[in-house]
Amino acid sequence: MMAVLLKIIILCAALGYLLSAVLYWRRKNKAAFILHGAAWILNGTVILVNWVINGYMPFVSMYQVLTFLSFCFTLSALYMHFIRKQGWLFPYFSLCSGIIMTGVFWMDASLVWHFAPALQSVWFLPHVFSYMLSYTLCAVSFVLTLVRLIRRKEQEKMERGVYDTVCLAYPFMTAGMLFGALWANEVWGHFWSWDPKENWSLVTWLLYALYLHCRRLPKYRGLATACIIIGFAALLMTFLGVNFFGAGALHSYTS
Amino acid sequence: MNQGQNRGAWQNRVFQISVWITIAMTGILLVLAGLQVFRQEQMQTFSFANGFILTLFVLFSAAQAVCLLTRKLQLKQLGFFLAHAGILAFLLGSLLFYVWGDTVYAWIPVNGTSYNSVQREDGSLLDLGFDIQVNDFTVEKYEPVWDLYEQTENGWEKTGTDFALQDGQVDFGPYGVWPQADLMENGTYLNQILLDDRHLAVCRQADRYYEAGIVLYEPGVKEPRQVSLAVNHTARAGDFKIYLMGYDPASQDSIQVLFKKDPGEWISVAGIAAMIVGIFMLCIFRGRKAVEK
Repeated sequence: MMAVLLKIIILCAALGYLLSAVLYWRRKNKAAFILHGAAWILNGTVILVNWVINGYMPFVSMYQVLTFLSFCFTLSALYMHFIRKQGWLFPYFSLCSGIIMTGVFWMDASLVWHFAPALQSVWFLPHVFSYMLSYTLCAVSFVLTLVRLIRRKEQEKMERGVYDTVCLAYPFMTAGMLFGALWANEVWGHFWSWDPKENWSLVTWLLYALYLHCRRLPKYRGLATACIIIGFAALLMTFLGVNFFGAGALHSYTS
Repeated sequence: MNQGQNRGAWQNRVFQISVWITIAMTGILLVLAGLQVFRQEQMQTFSFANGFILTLFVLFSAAQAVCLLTRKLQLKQLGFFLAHAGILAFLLGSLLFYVWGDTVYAWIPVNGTSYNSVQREDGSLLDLGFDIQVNDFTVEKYEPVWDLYEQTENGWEKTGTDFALQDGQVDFGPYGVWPQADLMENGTYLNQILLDDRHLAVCRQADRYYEAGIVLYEPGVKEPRQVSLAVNHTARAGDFKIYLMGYDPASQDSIQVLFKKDPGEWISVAGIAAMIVGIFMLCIFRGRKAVEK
């Protein structure tokens, strides 16, 4: 019964996010913001219910993590609006949330996930939270890059948007990766085990570092754009691909 | 060209070289990471702790060091220095462990016998420099849940999940209500239960927590030290950090322990802290720096 109810809430959240994105683009900002807020509250409700049922922070299964990832997009959007004055990015964040929640709707929402001893660490929350925040921003920067390449309009504004999102994403990506290293040292005795997931996270980190460096030189701008695209592909590989292809040995807590 | 322009040209050249070193390293790591996923069997014997990878990181470290030397040490460059020096410190700490560190896995019986040495994989003995004794071990498990599988043309397929105990029994719906006693043998839950010709219930009972009560006898210390060793809760004795890695699930009468000596650990931790702080300073507080023309 609870599982069915959660499915309905997830579907409403997904539709809310997607419709709000459409309304933002049609410049119906007030209606879009209200719908976006409602979808975000429904998204938060799913996280809260999972937390109560399981008795721990719901960051263990891919279903739980993606639900939280979707939630983080709005937090990032609010930061970009109020601190970076980039409120025009709202539709991109809303769209990404909608896509994620649509995927969550089709996932196996097993409500009971056992929290393995290795996950019971003070590093769990900062590691996952940092990465989720950074992933939301990297996703938006990727979408912005694609739009910039396709539309060829407002190039400077789009490029500025990409830079600002990556400047916010990168420190959290670094923190997420290094919190993971500190955690690994406490649980496995090694800062780095050359696990596929760790290697792909390092490759992702290096690619975004290259973007930030290449952007400083005009003749490397094309390379910078390539780093965003390849970096996001590497991010997807880190987050989803490694587990999907069954190579995430040390990080397969829920298998 | 004046001194300032010379410095600018030199910085620019160093910057471009370090970018290309990073590109090369990223490319190589990307290929290796890809092989790890798509050629898993072939990569099982590959070790990243080899001379080639080490050389790559030495070059990368050199690039960081040279970048640091091209900049004047100023407060407004603190983020830059922390970030790049942090990378160097982390790699240095790792190198110290690689050269002078030691790790040994050992199975220790839970019977109160003291051990002061453990055997490495190659058969040689490692003298710990202290005595370790494991007196007790406890494990807590989550309540079991069962997943339902049905035999189809393609084999066993999962058709249901999370069947839990309620009031001392599990209701498998059309496949019957099974009392707890029928799901157990010799006090433990059976891995699988055949519900009928084509339906199977598979038990999942994960570990919630496990810990070992150990006693450490260190030279020069009068009183032995009693410590609770658990996952994510290590102990230290002599030059070693002690980790609880696992236990014998069948009998629970022995535990697997990792003894690790890492002379570079604190340098690596300091490097990590510097990197995080430095990159936050560079990106969040200086993120609006104009692109250089």
